[in-house]
Amino acid sequence: MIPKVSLDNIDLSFPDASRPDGRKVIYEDFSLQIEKGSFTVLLGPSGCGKSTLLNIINGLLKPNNARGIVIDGTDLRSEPDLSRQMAYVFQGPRLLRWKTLAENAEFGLRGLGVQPREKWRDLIDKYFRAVGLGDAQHLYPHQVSGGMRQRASIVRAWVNEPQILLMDEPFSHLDEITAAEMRRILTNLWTSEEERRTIVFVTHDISEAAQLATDIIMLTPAPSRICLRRKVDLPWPRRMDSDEVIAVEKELRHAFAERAGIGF
Amino acid sequence: MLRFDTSAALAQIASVVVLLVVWAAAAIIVDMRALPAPWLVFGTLGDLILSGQAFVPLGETLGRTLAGFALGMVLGTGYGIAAALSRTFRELTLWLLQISIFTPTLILIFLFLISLGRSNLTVIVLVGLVVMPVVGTYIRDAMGDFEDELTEMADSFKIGLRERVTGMYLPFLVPPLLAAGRVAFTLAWKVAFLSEIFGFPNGIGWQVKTGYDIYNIQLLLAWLMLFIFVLLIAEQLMRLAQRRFVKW
Amino acid sequence: MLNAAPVVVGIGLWWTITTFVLVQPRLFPPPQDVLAELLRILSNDGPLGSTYAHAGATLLRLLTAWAIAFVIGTLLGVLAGRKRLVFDFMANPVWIAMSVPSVVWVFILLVLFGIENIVPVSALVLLLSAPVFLGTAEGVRAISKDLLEMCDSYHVRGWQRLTEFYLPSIASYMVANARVSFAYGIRIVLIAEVIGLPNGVGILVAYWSDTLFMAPIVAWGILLTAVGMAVDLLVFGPLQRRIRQESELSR
Repeated sequence: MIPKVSLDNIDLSFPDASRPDGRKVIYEDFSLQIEKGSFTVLLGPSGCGKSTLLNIINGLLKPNNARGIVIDGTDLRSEPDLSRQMAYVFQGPRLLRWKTLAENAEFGLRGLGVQPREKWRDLIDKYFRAVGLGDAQHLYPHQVSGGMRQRASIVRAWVNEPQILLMDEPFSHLDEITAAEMRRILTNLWTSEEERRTIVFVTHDISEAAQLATDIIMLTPAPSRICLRRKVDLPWPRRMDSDEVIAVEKELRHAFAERAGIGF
Repeated sequence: MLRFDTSAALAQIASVVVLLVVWAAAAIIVDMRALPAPWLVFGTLGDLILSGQAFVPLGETLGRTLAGFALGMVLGTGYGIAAALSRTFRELTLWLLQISIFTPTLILIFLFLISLGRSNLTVIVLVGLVVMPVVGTYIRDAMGDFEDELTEMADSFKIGLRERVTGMYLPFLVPPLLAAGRVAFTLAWKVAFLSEIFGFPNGIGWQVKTGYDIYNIQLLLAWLMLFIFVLLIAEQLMRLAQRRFVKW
Repeated sequence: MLNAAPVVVGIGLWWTITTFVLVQPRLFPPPQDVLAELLRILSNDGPLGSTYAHAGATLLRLLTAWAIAFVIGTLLGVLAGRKRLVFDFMANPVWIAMSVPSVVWVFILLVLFGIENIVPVSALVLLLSAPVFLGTAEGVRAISKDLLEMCDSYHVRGWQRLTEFYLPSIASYMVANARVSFAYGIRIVLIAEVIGLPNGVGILVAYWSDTLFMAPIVAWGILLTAVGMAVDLLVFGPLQRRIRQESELSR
């Protein structure tokens, strides 16, 4: 089966005067496959380049060398418009404070331009309702809570009905209760759709990875390597206190201690 | 929302009262012919307004001020956004901007009025030219507060330049534009007024100059009061606008 | 290089227009005429006596007014920053001082004081202290409550509080105020000098404008602008950098 995303032999480094050779290598001959319809969690410590991987996938960051950046069988570099099939959710909500939540979603729709204008109103309404913001969609960001803002930023991405959702630690700034709520809403939304979207989700939180993922890819600090690949075949909804999830967590923590290059 | 601040209002009224008292005292001490007392001046002002004499010069000065102000705001905002977005543009215009901060205004006024003639257009362009760098630097610096994060977000959603300007930069700039507008209007009003004192043959400034020439200080001060009141009203209007339009 | 390009292009345009389009040297002086006048000024030659004497008088008035305005503005600003009531009280007078052009203040003050240097200097002080006042008040209001509490708990009062706490806290605002008010001063000093004075660049410029001879006016403009930019570059620039570095280090 063709993987949804295939990164083949990526090299990425940045100039760094503090190093002897003048460069900091993030990726060297790095390859990664993400399966269609999976919820793939990229797990690793901060600074190992997980977010940069997301930016390579959507083409905003160009690696120094790459044999292939392949989306659904086509190389992104020969078809840059493929990036319109992807939507990004950031760590912070990054909403425009002078637009309502609904208008913010429309802003993204207009930019990516993959949905016909006639459908916008319905799409916006549908997805705001799906995350519980049906009435709040006409409010301004400062009138709603932090969790609601982050939900709105997820809606902004989702209304485009993208093939791939790139999510960069979207819940790491939220308190534990709100974050748990958000995970529930996210997995509900994702599992409610017949044809599941491919999600690439970055986090440093092991527990979150165990709760959300179908596939976990654990990365070492730069220069990054994959130190663990694991499928998580548990059904949803998953409880973070269930034995199965905790078992996965334990395994991950063990691998983290052993292979992620953290000295204990 | 701000409730009516009584102590602030009282303090503001008190200061005006103090100023009027000082003025009255000075008038009495010096000599009524040399410095007329407040009530005489306000009386003359009242006459000017009631007789309708005030309105033509007011309209003339105000017209040129508004046109020049608008010109300066548009050019300045354009400059500010361009300078914030393009390093090259910023570098290119750096020295020109520096020069404009240090150019004596009087020389600009003479240059324009004498070389380019005493037409309304000359004054409007002059005002626009003086206002533009002030607004420009203000907007450029305000754009610096525009979070990189939002730019990244716009990149990821592939937002085009036109949409960025109309959907992001301009709404973001509304509060600083209002603040810059207040400063710009005051400046525009002053420059238009000055150009009338230094040669332009009509408007409130010209009335003030005439008052000085014929040594009628009472008349001079009456026209000055009109000048100040218009400024006061404009300030209040802008403050109201600021409160109404900035919902966020 | 990018910086200089527009200026060079500007001069080129100036030359082209005054040589081929608007050919009237008295009214539209080409660069070379202005240069000639500039050299004339620098050689101390002028229609109303020594140009250096006039320039000196103007700069002296500017510096005096600027210094006085800085002190008054800062002291009042500190008071106003601390006590809201003072700020509200000062709001209107400051605003009136800012709004009335210096020449009108000169009209009024001439009536009161006659032809004395105090007239233009006072007019300038009125105008220049306003931005200093506003900037200082803003800076003082930005001082964290935590530090103020600390001063209280160590019984730091009065003069010590002013010199060892307030002024250093607002050092960066003070330098910015000084810089901005100086530039403002250069822009408006001539306006205060056109009437009622025996010397000064202001009356020189007025004289030349009466005779409709523009080249020396442009020359004086260039001279004053250059002086302003030089002071800004050599004095205020480094000063602001020093203050910024020091405040970074203390974080």
